[in-house]
Amino acid sequence: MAEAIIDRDVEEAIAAALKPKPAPAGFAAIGRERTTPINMPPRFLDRCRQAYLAVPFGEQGGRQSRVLGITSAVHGEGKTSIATGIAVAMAADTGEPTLLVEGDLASNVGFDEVFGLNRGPGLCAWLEGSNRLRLVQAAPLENAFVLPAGDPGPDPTRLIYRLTNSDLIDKFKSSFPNIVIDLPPMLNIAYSSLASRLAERILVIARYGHTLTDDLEKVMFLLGRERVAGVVLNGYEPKTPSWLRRIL
Amino acid sequence: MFKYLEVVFRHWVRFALLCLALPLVAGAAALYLFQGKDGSAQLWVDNPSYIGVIQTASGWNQYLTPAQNTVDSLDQLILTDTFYQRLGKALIDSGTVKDWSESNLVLGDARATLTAAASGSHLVTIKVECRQAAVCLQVLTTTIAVHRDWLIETEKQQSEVALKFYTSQLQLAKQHQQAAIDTFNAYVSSHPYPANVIRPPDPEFDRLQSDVRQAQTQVNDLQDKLQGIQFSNDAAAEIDQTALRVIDPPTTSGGRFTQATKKTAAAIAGAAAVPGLAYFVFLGWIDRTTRNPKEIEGRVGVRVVALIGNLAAKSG
Repeated sequence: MAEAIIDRDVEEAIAAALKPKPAPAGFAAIGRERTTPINMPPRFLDRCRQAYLAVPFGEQGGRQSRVLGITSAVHGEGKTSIATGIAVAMAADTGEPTLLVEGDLASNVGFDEVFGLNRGPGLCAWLEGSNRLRLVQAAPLENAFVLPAGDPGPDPTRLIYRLTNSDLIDKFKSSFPNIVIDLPPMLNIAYSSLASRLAERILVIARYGHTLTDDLEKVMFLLGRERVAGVVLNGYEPKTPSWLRRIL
Repeated sequence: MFKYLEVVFRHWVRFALLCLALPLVAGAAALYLFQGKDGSAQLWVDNPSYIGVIQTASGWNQYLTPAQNTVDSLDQLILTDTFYQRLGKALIDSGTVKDWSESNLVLGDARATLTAAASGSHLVTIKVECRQAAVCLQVLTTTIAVHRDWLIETEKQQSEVALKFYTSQLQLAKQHQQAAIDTFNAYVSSHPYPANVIRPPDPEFDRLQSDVRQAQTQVNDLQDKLQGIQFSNDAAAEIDQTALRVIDPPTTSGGRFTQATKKTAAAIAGAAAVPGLAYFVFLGWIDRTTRNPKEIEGRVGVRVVALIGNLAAKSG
């Protein structure tokens, strides 16, 4: 009975996001919740595009299913920015509904802040059963949506456990061919390995001159190399002239 | 390699200061502080035939000018260990250097920089680079003296050999002369003739008389030669003094970047660069962060699929 209610809630949330009801005649239209317009440099988006296009996604039900997790070794390596960039690039390129899920419940900078959302309930509240699922349109794109985490409360591990045990991502898959999950960093968050199970393929973000190579090796060990589609080197600003790098 | 280069370019100001500017300053300071001296002396060489006596060291080439001949003998002399032994001893004896270790340093410089060159048909210029003016002067003075001694010694040795040879030749010639005189006298005794009467033509008498004259001439020639050689032997030193004159005594000019100065400056500049280089090697060695995509791929076994410049916000 509870599962049926949950399923219906998810379907309603998706429907509300993808097919908003037109306002009745004589009433002002109630707009969908939108983020502040996402404005990313074209070059950055192009690099994000390069990253997701290098990921070998599997097929499901005759069409490509893209559930991509973005993680890193520790916080502060540009994981959320790149996850957003990849989601925006995917939505723009495919024209298909794209969902960006905030899976990093311990982030210093949550989606509320990143996307200029009102502080409100999110994925955590839904997992607690205290609120409805909240999908927010990622303006200015019509087909991109974000699922903010909201306040994780004192026990985020329990919530992630619930999330991995639920079939929420599978349900999203039917409506969102592109799902990007902003996963927690692997080395300093206890539930990161658990959260990483949500994604089929994972991109690991390393920050140039910041991430230790040893840490990156540990991340690979925790995730398993077969699940990692590649490494994205963020903040890549080598000072060595390019001609010299080519020689080397 | 990439990460070490990256360290250099990332900290290029420090690199420029530590590994370029500091060694340059140190090298320049060394050039200034260890400026060497250029010493030179000029000799005037006369052709030995000018003074009428063939007085030359062995190896004198008549097709070369006197200056060229002298340069040739000097060049060979300064290649010998004996010369440097004498030079070292002279440096210590004169108090120019304190001990053999210092002397060896000077000799090393001299071996590398001591040169002789012909500046015309009779003028020879000897040059040397030293760390101190006194050393330059001593090296040049000793070189000239040793060369002269060597010439005198060689000439005396040759004279003595010639003396022995001509003395024995003279003895033989005198014996031959005596024999000719005896034979002539015997013939005259056996064929007496009044003194106031003209002797009729006698071929035998004429032949014996001619033998005596020839023997006498030979003896005279050998005696002349022997006297000449004796004179040369006795006056070898004076002749060389005249044939090989120091026209410009050894002098020095300071403030030059000699070979030794340049070597010292290069060594000091190199030494000054070592700490800076060590610092950068250390920086590169301790840098364990991800910088090189190829290194990442090699270490973690996963492809680097994108390189994103400094465009993304640092959130997340």
